[in-house]
Amino acid sequence: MRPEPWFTAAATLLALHVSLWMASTIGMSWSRPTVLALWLAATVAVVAQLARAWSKRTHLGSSWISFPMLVLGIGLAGFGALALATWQGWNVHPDWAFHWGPKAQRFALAQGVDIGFLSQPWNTHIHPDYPLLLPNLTASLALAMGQSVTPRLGGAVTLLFAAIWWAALRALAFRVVEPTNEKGRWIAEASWLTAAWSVTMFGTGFRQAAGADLPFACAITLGALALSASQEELREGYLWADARVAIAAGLASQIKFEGSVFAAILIVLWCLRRLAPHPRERGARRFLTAGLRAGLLPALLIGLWAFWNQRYGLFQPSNAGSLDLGRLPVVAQGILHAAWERAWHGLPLCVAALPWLCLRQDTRWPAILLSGQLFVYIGVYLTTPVDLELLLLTSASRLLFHLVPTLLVLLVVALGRGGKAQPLELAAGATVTSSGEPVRPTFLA
Amino acid sequence: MGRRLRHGLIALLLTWTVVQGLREPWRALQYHLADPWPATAPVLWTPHTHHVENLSLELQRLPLDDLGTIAVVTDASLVGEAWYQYLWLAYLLPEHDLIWSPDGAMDNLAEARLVLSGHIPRLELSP
Repeated sequence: MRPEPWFTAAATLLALHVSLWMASTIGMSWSRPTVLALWLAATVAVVAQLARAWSKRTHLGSSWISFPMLVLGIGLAGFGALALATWQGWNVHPDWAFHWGPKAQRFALAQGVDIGFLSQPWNTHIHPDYPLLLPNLTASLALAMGQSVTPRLGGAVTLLFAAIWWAALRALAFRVVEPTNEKGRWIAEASWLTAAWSVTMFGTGFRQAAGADLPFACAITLGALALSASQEELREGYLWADARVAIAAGLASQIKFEGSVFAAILIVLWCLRRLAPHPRERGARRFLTAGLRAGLLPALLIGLWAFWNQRYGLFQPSNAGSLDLGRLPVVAQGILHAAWERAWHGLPLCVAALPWLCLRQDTRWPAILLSGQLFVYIGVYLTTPVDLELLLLTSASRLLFHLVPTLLVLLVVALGRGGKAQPLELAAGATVTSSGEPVRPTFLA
Repeated sequence: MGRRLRHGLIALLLTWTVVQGLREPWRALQYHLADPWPATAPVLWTPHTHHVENLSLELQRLPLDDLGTIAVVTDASLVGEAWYQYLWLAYLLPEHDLIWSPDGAMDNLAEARLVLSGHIPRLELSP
C-alpha cells in the first residue's frame, strides 16, 4: 500500500504550518533562508510524489490523445478557470481584507506569529483564536519570496489546496465506484467532473480565493476519502489507512474553528468502520488501535491550539452560547435562502439526497460524515450568541461550499449505479481496464 | 428510478455545473472590467468599492510614518459604513495598530486620532 500524493501533499502543508508555528512558539524568527528552505523542501517532496504517481499511471493510457485524457483535460480546465480568476484577483474573499490578510501581513512583518497583535482588545473581530494555518503559510510564502503579503499570494496558497482538492475529488469518485468495467469508470469520471466544476462555479462566483473555506472543504473531501477505505485496508489494518484519517482530521483542525469538531466526527466514524468483523482480532481492540493511530496527531494539534489560546487569552466569548431550538425555523429558512444564492445555481438542494446516500452501502460512510458536519453547522446556528440572521446571511452559503462538491460526487455515483450498489468488499480494491486486465488505482484516481 | 431518468439527471447535473462553472469566471471578468479596483473588494461593500480607492489615496497624503497606534473615530453620518472603512484601514495600514474607537473611549491608548467623516471618506489627523 503506497501513500497517495494528495494525502502526502496535504501532510506536507500541515507539517509546514506546524513547523512555522512551533518555531515561533520557541522564539525562532522566520528568517528568509529558513522559510525558503522549508518551502523548497515541501515543494520537492510534493513534486517527487507527483512524479512517482505519474510514472505509475495506467488507466489514462500512454497516449496523450485519448478520451480519458480529454475528460481529464475538461476537469482540469475548471481548475484553470479558477486559477485564472484567482491570479487576476477577481474572486478574493472579503475575509481576506477583514481578517486573514491583516493576520498574514502582521506575521510577515513580525517574522513570526504576532501574539501581541492577536491579543489586543480591539482585534477581536479578526478571530484571534482561529487556527493559524492559512496566515502562517501566506506570511511565510511572502517572506520566502521576498515580497509583501498580497491578495494574489493569499490566493496562491488557496490554489495549492484547490489542486489537492481536485485530485482528492477524483480519487473519491474512483474509490466509491471502484470501477470494474467501462461503465463504472465513466460514472466515476462524470461524478468528478460535476464536483470539480461546482468548485469553479462557486469558488469564483462567491469569491473564495484567499479565504479559509476552500482549504477546509478540501480537508472534508480528504476525510471522506480516508473514510472510504477498501475492505482489504480495513481487514489488514494498514498504518497508512489510519494515517490518512489523521492527516485529514489534523488538517481540518488547523484551518478553521469548526475543524476540531469535524476531526472528532471523522475519527469516531473511522473507529466504527474498523469494527467490521475480523477473523483474528477483537472489535474493541481494533476500535482502540484505530482511535489511537488516527486520533493521536489531531488530538495533539487540537490540544496545542487550545493550550495556546488559553495561554494568551485568545478565546472569544462569542464562540458559543446556549442551545435555543426555537431558532430552528429561522435557521431552516436561512439555509434554504443560502441554497438559492445566485453563485450556487441551485446545487445545494442536493443536500436533500443525504438520507438516501446514507442508506446506500457504497456511499454510506462519507454521506454520514457530511450529514454530521451539516448537523454541526445547524448546531452552531442554534447556539450562537451573535446576530443569527446576519450570521446566516454571511456564512451559510460558504459553509455549504464545504459539503456540496463532495456530496455531488456521491450523488452522481449513486444515480449512475442505481440500486445495484455493490458492497465495497466485492470490488476488492482493483480496477479493470477495457481490455479486461485488472490494474491498481492510478494517477489521480 | 429508471435507468434513463438516472442517466438524464446525471447529464443535466453535469451540463448545468460545467456551463455555470464557465459563466462565473466570465461574470467575474465583466465585473472586473466594469470596476477595476475590486481586487480585494468585499461582497458587503461592493457598491462602495471606489471608496476603498479613495481611502487608499487619502492615506497616501497623510504623515502616518512615525505613528504606531492610531485611534479610528467616526461621526454619526457613517453609521454602518464606518466599520468596514475601519477594517479596510487596518488592512491598508498593516504597520500601524489601528484601534476601533468610534465613541472615543479608547483614544487614550493611541498616539493619534484618525477621523472618518462624510460618505466619501475624508481623513483628518488630530494630535
